[in-house]
Amino acid sequence: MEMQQRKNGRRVVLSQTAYHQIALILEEFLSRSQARLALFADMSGYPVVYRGDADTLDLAALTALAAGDFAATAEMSRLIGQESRFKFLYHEGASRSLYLCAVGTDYFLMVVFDKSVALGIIRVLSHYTVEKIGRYIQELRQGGEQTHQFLDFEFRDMLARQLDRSLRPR
Amino acid sequence: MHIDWFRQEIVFKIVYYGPGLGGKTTNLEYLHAHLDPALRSRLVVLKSPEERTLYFDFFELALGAIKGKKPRFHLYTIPGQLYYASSRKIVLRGVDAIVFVADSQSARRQDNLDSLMDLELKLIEQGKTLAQFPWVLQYNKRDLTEIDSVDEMEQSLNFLRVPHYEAVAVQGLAVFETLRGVIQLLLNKM
Ligand SMILES: Nc1nc2c(ncn2[C@@H]2O[C@H](COP(=O)(O)OP(=O)(O)OP(=O)(O)O)[C@@H](O)[C@H]2O)c(=O)[nH]1
Ligand SMILES: [Mg+2]
Repeated sequence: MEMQQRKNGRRVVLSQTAYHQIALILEEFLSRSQARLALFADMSGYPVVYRGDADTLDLAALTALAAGDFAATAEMSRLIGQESRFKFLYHEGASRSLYLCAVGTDYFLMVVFDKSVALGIIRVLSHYTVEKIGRYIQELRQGGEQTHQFLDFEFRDMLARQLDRSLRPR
Repeated sequence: MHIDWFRQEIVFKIVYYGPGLGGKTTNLEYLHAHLDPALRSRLVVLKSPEERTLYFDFFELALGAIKGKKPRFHLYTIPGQLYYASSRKIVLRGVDAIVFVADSQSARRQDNLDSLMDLELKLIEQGKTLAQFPWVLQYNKRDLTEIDSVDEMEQSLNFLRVPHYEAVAVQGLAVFETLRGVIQLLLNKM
C-alpha cells in the first residue's frame, strides 16, 4: 500500500536518458530562439533541466514562484468558468520577459528572453519544444525501487550528522 | 521527494502549517536570517500589505554533497487565513514532512484545532494521514501571558504523540530545534 502510494504520487525519480534528451531539446530551442534561459520544471516547483544563462538567477526561488503562478492562475481559470488551467502564461517586462508553458499536467517550460527577441518566435518555438519534450515525459518517471539505493543507511546517517552541524543559528 | 539521478540530487519538501498569525513566516524568516548564506536560496515572501502570507513563503536549504549526492530541503509556509484554502492545498502537494505551528494563546485554542483538522482533510485528499506521516508540533509564543499550559496543548492537539517544541519564534527560541526535529523524523521514517 505504502509503496503503491509512493509510486503514484510522492516519489519522483528521473531517468538519465530522458534527462539528456530534454537537455538537447532545450539547447536546440535556445540556439534557435536566442532566449536567455530555458528551464523545464515540475509543477510542484522543482527545476528539472535548464540550459542558458542562470548564473545570476536564483533558480530554486524562481521555479517555486513559477509553479505557484500556474497554480494561482488555474484557480482564476476555474473562477471564470473554464475546466482546465491556462496553457501558457506571459509576463512582459521593460527589458526582459517570461514565458511559461505547461507540459502535460505535471511539468512546465519557462523561458526568459530579452526585449530584442520577438514574442512570436518564443511562442512558436516553445510550443514546438513542448511537443517534443512531451514524448519523453513517460520515460522521465521510473519506479520508486531505486530510492533505497540513493537513501541507504550510511547516507541517512551522514546526512543526519551534517544537518546537526549546519542547522544551528549563526 | 524528488530524486534527480543525473545531478545526484534529492529534494525534500517541508511545509510549515498552522492557524493565521501563529508564527509560520516568523520561523522561516529567522531560519533564513541565521543560516549560513552559502546553504540557502533567496527567501521568497508573498505578503499582503498587512504582512499576512498571501500565497506562500519559500526558501531552499542546500547541503554539501554526501557520498557525491546533494540533499536539498524546500521549506514552505502556507497562508493560515481561512480564506486561502486553495493556496494551502497547492502548497501541500507532494509534501514530505510538516511542522504544525500552534499559537499558544488561549484565545486561539479552537483555531489551532480547526487548522489541524483542515490539514488532516487535505492530507487525506492526497492519500496520506497524520497518523502515518512525519510531522511535529511547535507551541509558539510561549513568551506571552494569556497562554495555555503545555499540558493543555498536548491534550488538545497532540493526540498522536508526535515530538513537540516550546518556541518563541520572534526570538528564535526552538526554531532550529524544530526544523532539526522534523527532518530527523523524516529521515527515520524513510
Ligand atoms: N509574542 C510573540 N509574537 C510572535 C511570536 N512569533 C510570531 N509572533 C508575531 O505574530 C505575528 C504573526 O506572525 P507570522 O509569522 O506572520 O504568522 P503566520 O503564521 O505566518 O500568519 P499567516 O501568514 O497569516 O498564516 C507577527 O506579528 C509576529 O511578530 C512569538 O513567539 N511571540
Ligand atoms: Mg505567514
